[in-house]
Amino acid sequence: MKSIKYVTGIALLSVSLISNAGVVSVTAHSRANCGGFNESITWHLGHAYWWRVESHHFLSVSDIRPHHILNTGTNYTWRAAAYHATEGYSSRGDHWYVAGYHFYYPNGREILDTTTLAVDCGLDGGWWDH
Amino acid sequence: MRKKFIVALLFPIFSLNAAENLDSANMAKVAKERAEWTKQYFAKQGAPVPGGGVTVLPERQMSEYNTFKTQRAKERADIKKYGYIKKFSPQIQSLLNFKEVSKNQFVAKSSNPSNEGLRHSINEIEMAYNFKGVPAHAVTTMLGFAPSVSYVKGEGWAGAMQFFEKAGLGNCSYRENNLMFSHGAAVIPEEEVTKDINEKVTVAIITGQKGSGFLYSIDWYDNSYFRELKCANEKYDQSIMNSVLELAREIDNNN
Repeated sequence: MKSIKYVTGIALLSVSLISNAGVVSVTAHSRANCGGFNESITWHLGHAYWWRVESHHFLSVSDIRPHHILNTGTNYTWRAAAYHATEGYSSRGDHWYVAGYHFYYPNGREILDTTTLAVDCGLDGGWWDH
Repeated sequence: MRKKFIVALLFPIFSLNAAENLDSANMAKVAKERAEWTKQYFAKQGAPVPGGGVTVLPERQMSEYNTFKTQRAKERADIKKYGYIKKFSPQIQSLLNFKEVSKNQFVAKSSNPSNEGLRHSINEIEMAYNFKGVPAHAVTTMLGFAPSVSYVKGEGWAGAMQFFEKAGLGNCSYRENNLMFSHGAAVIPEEEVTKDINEKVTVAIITGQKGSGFLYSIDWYDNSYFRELKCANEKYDQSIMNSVLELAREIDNNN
């Protein structure tokens, strides 16, 4: 019981310390050409789930196959981040295109919760290509 | 000579523009081919493919069967012994203590649309579609709304999460994922499936432990939406699950 109160206290404290993004619900995004990184991330602060994120990185939006793929593997975590440093420098003319595939595994189910696409560093990297 | 020099300087610029125009003209074709390549890539893994809808399979045929078989065996043993999966979850505590947890999480109406903070009304969230949520008469106290799933550029959020209190059930959350915007997909083990919610693929699970509370979770799936209703209560009582199922049917009928 003591440990439960301790964990709950930490969870509540961490929630109160960091406001907004990914705090009250599960959200996902991709970002590209962020001054040195490309990424696809799923997260929910203080709440762990079985997650896997694949981030497909294309050299250009006109490519059909990704140049490379980052896969977080299936992990129990509050933040599944497929993060690639040392690429995506818009200042040197990079035009990476990032597609994120956000998988969720509640009680053995296999859910592709969402797909996120990005050509820039905004946090609005949802799917726009309907 | 001077003319040749100028042409030589401009040639790469013209070439670049031509390539960009060509890309623009062929973008739909490229997007289609890329989507097809991606579907085949995930299909080879046995994973859900973007836009693939809902598939029900024997769990042994699922791509992550080996990852979860020990955990699933433990969960089944718990359900047989206790009626629920015996597990502590911060999610239960967050929902039970939602008013305390959420009080600093509300953001101004004028916030950036992609801001993921809580709002007092669904109208304060830029949604990609009309989110109907839980019928007003089924809500005792409305606690808030949060954007969820992902933000679609030029459209809005692909889903939302509604928090509310329901007399007799406790604090609840309802999350909706619109597949038209998220391109989500699901593979569900047939061993877990019921058709409790209007004949749709449904999974109902109770998780928790005495002393820390219980989470009554219902997920139901069709080819347009993934929906989940969770209610946190300090007590374990099968009649609470029956009431949560009834509420889920009502939500489904309202949408």
